[in-house]
Amino acid sequence: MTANTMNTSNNFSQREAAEDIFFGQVVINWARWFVIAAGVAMVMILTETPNELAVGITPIVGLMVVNFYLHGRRLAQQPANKNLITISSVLDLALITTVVAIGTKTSAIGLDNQFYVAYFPVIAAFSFVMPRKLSAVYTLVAMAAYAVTCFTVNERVISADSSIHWDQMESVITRLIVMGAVGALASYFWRVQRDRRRIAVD
Amino acid sequence: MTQATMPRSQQSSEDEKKNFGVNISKVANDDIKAGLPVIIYARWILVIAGFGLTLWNSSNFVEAQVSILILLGLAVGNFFLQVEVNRKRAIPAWIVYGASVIDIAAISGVLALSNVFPSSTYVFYMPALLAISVTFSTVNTAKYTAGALVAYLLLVIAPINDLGGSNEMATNLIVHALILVSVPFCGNVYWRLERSRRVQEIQTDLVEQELTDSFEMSSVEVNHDS
Repeated sequence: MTANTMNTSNNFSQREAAEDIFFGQVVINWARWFVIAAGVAMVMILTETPNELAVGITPIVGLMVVNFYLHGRRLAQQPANKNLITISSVLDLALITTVVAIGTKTSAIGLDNQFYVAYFPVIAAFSFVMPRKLSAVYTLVAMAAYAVTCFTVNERVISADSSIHWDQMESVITRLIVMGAVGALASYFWRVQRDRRRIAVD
Repeated sequence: MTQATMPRSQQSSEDEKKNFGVNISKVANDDIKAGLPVIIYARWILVIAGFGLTLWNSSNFVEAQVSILILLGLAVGNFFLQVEVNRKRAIPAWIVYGASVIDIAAISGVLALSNVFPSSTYVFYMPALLAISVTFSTVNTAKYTAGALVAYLLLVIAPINDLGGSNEMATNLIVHALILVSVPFCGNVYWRLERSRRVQEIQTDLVEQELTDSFEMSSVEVNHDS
């Protein structure tokens, strides 16, 4: 293979990767809107005092501002770059993990906090858009964050004397498996679509 | 001549022209073909994880028996689909649609058997709906999602009633319902994006080809004239 051919192939791959992010980031924006809606529902129903409401809604409003900015840029045909999208997606994971770890005054925390389901759309959206290695890392980080949160915030899964409650561990493992599965399936479909596009052009 | 009175062959050739030679019905079939492996892999995950978890931690013998029967049925059906895909044989679309209905029904069935809220089984809707959303059209994805949502809401009414209901349960239910919709929604947004990207690429390619052909033709004519 000549140096010229290699350059052309590299350019094509780079352009394709850039287009993946250019077109696909709207999926991440939509996933984030759903997380925001779920967060608003949780804060509105489960808080009891104005102070709790203020503390609970502030990070969600922050996430809304981020999403308005990113979605607005996309609609104005000036989409964000890969780094910005990665940072905002990590922010999503951080927010979901924080809610699972802290909850609200009247909600459960750790394993019993049902906000963990918000991991699914963000993992799926990220894996649809980003290259496979990055998607794998993102999914693993989400899984690790959730597992560590469940194991450390209370003693529902692991007691203070380090004994494991296997019936609770089953729930953690089920959720982790499905988180991994959602990331893997979305990433697999990303590859299927890339191949279809290449075949269509050839 | 109106479209309704046009001979079918002529009509289809005109449709193809309108879409720069892209046959839309073929694209729809290709979409199902491309998404089918995702459905199959999602089902293998459901079968393997479900089987392992049922064997590991079943509190009720009848529940475990029924769950294992459902999972074995899914495994046999999925094996058939996997073999057909590997042999590169065409699978009728109704089988793919039917298999996806069975997936949703199986997850709902296991959920009904466990009769608890919140149930660990809920999460299995996610890979199933994700696979459906990247395989079928937006309308069909919406139908499957609505079906799964209605089934889930109907199934959790009883356990929520048994537990007396509370604000936290209501919140959990809203969050579950929102996320149940969000995963297929995002999947289908991506599916539509990719579809339009592919059509655009094909159109650009065809325009380039047409330009090259006409340039070559005019070059030949110029050479011939001189």
